[in-house]
Amino acid sequence: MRRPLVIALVLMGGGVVMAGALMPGRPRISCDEARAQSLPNADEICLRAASGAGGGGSGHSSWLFWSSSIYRGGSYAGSGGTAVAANTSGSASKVSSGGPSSSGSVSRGGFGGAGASASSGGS
Amino acid sequence: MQRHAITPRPDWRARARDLGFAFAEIAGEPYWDETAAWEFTAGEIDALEEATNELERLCRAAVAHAVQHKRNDILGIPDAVWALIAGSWQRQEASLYGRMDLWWDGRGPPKLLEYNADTPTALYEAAVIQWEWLTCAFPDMDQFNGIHEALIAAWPRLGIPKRVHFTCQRDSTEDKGTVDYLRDTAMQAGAEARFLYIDEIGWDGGKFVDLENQAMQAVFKLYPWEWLLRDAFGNNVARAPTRWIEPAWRLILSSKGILALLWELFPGHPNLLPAFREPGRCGGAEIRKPLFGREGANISAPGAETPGPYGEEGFVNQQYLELPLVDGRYALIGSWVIDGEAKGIGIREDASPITRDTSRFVPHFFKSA
Repeated sequence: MRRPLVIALVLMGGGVVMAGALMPGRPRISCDEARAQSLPNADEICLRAASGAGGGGSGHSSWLFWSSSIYRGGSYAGSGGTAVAANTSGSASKVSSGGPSSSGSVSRGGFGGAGASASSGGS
Repeated sequence: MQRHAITPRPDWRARARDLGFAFAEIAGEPYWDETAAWEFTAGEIDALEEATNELERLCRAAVAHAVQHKRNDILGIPDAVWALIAGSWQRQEASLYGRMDLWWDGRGPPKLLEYNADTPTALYEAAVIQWEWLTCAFPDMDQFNGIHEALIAAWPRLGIPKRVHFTCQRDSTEDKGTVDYLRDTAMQAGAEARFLYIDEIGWDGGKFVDLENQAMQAVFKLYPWEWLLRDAFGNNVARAPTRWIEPAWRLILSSKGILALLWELFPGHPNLLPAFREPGRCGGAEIRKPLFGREGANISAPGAETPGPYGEEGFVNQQYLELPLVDGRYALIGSWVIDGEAKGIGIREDASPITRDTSRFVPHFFKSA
């Protein structure tokens, strides 16, 4: 098996939910299982399991739910997890804006110029 | 290695949409193409995996050589930014991902065409979309695809702060989708992952800051190093305490001058093609590529030439091997390296022998041994 791990759950932005079905029957994982498998987000899973969040019932959490919670509405909507920032929706911000800084001002718009004529920075 | 014409799933568009795959079609044309699939044997997958790992070893040795001997000339990298690049290598700043583009027809050794080591895309479709396709279309088959799990596992090993900012240009659905996906993997690894567009990054006189004027200690950028350093804020990069992903030393590998350096250091290596900065030395037909070109622009090859804005920085000339042509489509294998190891492949096809941003992504499978 070239894909050794059992979890393949992802979410993409824009409020679009995806893919619990990638691994049918394996959406939930317990805190103990997460620790046993040394999953990188085991702490988060256990935190959510302890709080009863994650839709997995007592003692369980779900990568899927965790992921979808993160993206629902662009911000984390659940409890017991780490808050994440909403997607920014501001204008181009090619202006100076005030704020706490060592110099008392922040300049913006200094990146992006070289790529302005290109459709993509990817390759 | 065999191409099969297959019947697409009738609901593939809805599935793509449900997966958040916003660029399954680009400009009204299919980008994700499941009217065909490539079948490999387990032995062929082993060959691709071994070649990719070997090439990664060669590339890292070439970077070490370039830094030690200050070979920025062959790479087309200005003196003024070399200290920044060399410093990031000497500090062993970790790389998250890269994609090697390989020529292969299933016989003999795969050959490195180039290494997209700084801002590779075609990631989400390789990691997730083709896997979901496999579970529907060929559930009893396997796929060389551990990309998603490897990305999640890699984030904690990068040695960066828990808060990571993600950024890219505006107006590219593909770039934003790629960044969103990587941001997702970072979150699943426990990171606090924030997004802002590249032009929203601020400079407060001593550090880069986000829209809340919070310090940007670690930044994933889908924005090439050569652009970043050329921008108005470029001079601030060296004095800011920000960790960048990919790190600055990846510019050495993303310069196509690396192809000439690799051939100089490892002449005759079975996974390399002859390549030189000067034309006419490869001993046969050559393809000319700009050192910092992107998405197939400004390429000259026998019978093919593409337009674009690149080339002022110079070119590299590589022995020309036409991509395998099957059913009227030229196929290119993108081999993913995550945290330094081969973790999967994605295949793109085009009616032209030069792969471009409009080339179609075609899934693959293999039968486990």
